[in-house]
Amino acid sequence: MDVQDHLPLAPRDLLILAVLAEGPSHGYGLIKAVEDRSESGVLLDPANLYRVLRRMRDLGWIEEAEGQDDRRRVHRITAEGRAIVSAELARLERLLAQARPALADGGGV
Amino acid sequence: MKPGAAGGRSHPLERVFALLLRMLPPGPLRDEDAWEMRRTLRDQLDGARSWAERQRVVLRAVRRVPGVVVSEWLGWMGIGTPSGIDTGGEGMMGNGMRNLGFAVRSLRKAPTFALASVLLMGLGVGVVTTVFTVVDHVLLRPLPYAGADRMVYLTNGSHNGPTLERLDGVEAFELWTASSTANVNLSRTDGEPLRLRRTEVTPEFFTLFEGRPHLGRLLTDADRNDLRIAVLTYPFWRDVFGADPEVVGTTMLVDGEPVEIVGVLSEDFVHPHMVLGDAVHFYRPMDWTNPGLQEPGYFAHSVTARLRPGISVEAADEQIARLQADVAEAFPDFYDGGPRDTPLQSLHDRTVEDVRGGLLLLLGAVGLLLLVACANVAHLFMARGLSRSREMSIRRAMGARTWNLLSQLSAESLVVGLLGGATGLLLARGALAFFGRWMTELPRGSQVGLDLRIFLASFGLATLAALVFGLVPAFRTVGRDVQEGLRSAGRGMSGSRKVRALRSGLVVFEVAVSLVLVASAGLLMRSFLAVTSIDPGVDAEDVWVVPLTPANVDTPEEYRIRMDAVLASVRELPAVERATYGMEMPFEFFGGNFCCWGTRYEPEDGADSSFRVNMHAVSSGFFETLGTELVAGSVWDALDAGDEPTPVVVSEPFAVRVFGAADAAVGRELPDLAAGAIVAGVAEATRHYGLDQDHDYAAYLPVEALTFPIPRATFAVRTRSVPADLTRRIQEAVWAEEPNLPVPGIHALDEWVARSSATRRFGSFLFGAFGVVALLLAAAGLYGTLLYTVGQRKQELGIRLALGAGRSRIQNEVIRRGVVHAAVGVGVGGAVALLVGRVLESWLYGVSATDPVALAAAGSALIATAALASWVPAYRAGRTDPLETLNVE
Repeated sequence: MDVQDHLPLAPRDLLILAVLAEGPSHGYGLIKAVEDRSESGVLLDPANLYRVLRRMRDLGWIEEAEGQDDRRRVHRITAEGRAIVSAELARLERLLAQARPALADGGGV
Repeated sequence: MKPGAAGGRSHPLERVFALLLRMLPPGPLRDEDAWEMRRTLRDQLDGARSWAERQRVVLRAVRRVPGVVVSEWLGWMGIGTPSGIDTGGEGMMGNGMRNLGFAVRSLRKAPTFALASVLLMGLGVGVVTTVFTVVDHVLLRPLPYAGADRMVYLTNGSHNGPTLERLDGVEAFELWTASSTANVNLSRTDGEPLRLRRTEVTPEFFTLFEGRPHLGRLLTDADRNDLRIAVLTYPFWRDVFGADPEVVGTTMLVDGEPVEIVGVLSEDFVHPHMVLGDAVHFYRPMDWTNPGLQEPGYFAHSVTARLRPGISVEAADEQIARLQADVAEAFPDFYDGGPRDTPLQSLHDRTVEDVRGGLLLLLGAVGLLLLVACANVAHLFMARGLSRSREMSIRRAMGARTWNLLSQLSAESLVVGLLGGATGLLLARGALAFFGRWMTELPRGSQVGLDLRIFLASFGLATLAALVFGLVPAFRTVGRDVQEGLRSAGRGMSGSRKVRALRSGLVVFEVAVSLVLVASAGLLMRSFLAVTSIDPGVDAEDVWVVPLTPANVDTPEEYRIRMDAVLASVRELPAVERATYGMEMPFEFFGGNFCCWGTRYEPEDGADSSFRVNMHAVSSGFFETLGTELVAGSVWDALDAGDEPTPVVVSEPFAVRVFGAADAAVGRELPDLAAGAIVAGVAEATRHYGLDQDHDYAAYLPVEALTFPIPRATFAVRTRSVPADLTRRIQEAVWAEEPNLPVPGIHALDEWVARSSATRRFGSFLFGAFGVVALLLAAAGLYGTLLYTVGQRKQELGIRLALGAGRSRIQNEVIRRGVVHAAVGVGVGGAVALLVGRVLESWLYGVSATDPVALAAAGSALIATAALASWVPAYRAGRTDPLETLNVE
């Protein structure tokens, strides 16, 4: 699979993967972390969250881990998921590098 | 994060959220994730720091459910990419959803366009669904009886005993039944007497029409000639006997005789109105002992049969013709003109023959209206599409693929189609409910409900139209040089001849169709006016009519004595100025269904062919009460009414035809009409069976001269004033003399007169309404086209104005353009209207199918409307600001 096919990622997807890259989490933990990290710029609701998670699972970006408490499912990023995150970050950095001079040029505002 | 202190307390909406997610999405989501989703929501709620945050969280969760459900279903069906690679933008929506979302947003930005196309499509779908549903139910569906396609009806009215006796010998018949309906009176100890319709039938009746008992039993061969038993219909049992389950075995008093109730028909029995007419209250066995059945002139029974499988109607017809020849041979004196011609008619045809013409007319009108509505939707989509040509070109220049543009435009058409379809569905449901009352008068009309298949068909067609026309602009940009498209999109589109021709064609088409509708409405309206301006020959104002059905009348004397007593009693009412009675009153029976009593008059000299004379037996006071004037002679007076020679009054056309003039008729003898009849007076011509029914040759004779008893008497009273309880007072006056005689209703005579032209009024109203709608639609189409053209030609107009062209000149140019479009449409439509007029011919009265007045009026109305519709665009054209338009460039 060519990771480039999946780029660009939606901001929300990137944030979810980024949170999972730091360690496994269950649904609520993910929602909290994404909202904190984006300073509530990205709000998640449970119904959509699980659709995203299923899609990522189907793509092999994440997998399920054994949960510690009750039936709550815990999600963990895979190597493939990490590859996607770094590819997307690289893409964004390249983009920023290309766009920044526009402002530095004095053309902005 | 650990659940907070609020753990375990659930929010009411949380349950809604969980329920929606369990119920709505397709399988996979429900099974795998619903629990997790709820669990997570619970965690979120528990983690919320304030009441307000809890509300925000749960509301957000619930609000997202519909979108998730739709995406899941689309994904499940393989549409869109719920788990695919497309993660841009809203992310969770598939392509299809995204296009729909895009369509909704872009329609929101053009609310007028969206509303207009949704309403037009809704109108078209709704009206067509309604009318086609009715037509399908009434005309097309088979009758609800087994072997309905083999059921036939013996035409030419009722049939006599000798015919019935020979029907068993008709091999083509698998099963046959005879029936005859009469009015009877039910006496009740606990209420007013009721008038009932009783049908006598052979037992096969219930086999043929699939009757099943709800209680007790139906009729069998063993009941032959047992006139004291009755099978009740379900509504009669429910309404009059209060659905008493113990009714079987009890008796009721009918025309003074006890009748035992042996059964009640089931509720689902479908009343064979095509044979029996109005609802029947109960059935009894056929009375073969009736001496009338021996007589060839006693035509009383309708015959319905089911043919053996494989037998054609033609073959059965031959057998019936042989049967009638046998009957004629057996009664040579009666059948001196040869055997009766009584061909078989399929029962289905019989059911719909009276309404087929009207319904097909309605369907035609609706079809025309739909065409105009579709043309307008096409207009709207094309106008919108063309105005977006630039947008399309830009998007293509940005690299949008053809497929993307097409699917986005289709999504827009689809959204309009869906909304229009929903509007149409509501409209059709409303219309069917609204017209429900009127439709119960149609055969099988009471069974009409919304037919989903018909709705889907018309809805699908309308959506298809929207799709096709919605795609026109996309196809126009396909394969075009993008540069050229961008350059020309600004102003050049009006120069595209093909598009202009297409739009002009649509306008001409709309005008033509509108003209057909408006001209037809004009013809029908003129017919209606012609009919209502006919002098009915009676002064119906302040006259009230009361049909009665005296029972157990054995002799003409008894009839007269009993009814004279009622008449005297009614005349004593202070409100009553005059009163009379007779066998029937004018307008009581209408249409071609001539009632009661007629005879043929054979002129003595033989030079003239014989003709039918309608006979009316009337009491004293008839002409004064009804306001019918005598043009010569006088009415008989009470003293010589019963004398020989019998004094009669004839109608003026009769007097003129037979004696040359009204005055010449007085004192002449008319032995052909009644024994010893002599003309006492001549009355003005009246209409009797409907305003549009000829009733030229009539004779009135005193009830004293009746030679047979009759089971009906209709009273008419002319009132001085109308007390609020007139009905009650008249009922009591009748019951003072005839306590067991039902008085079901009192009618205003002018209502009966109006009733006789109600169909015409309805027809002209319907066509008029459709015509007006079509006119408005055509005007809207023209308006839109001109406005668009003016918009496109802004630069040109601006330059011309700047160069000194007069405003009025430019305005006139635009108006002329509109009027020319309309004129071409009127020309085309006029030719079609002439053809349609021929179809309408049988509906017209006193006006020709090619009536120039109706055509000219319709044409002027359309051209005037076109001029009006052109005015706003013309005004705008004249107000074009030269500077502004030049600046744009």
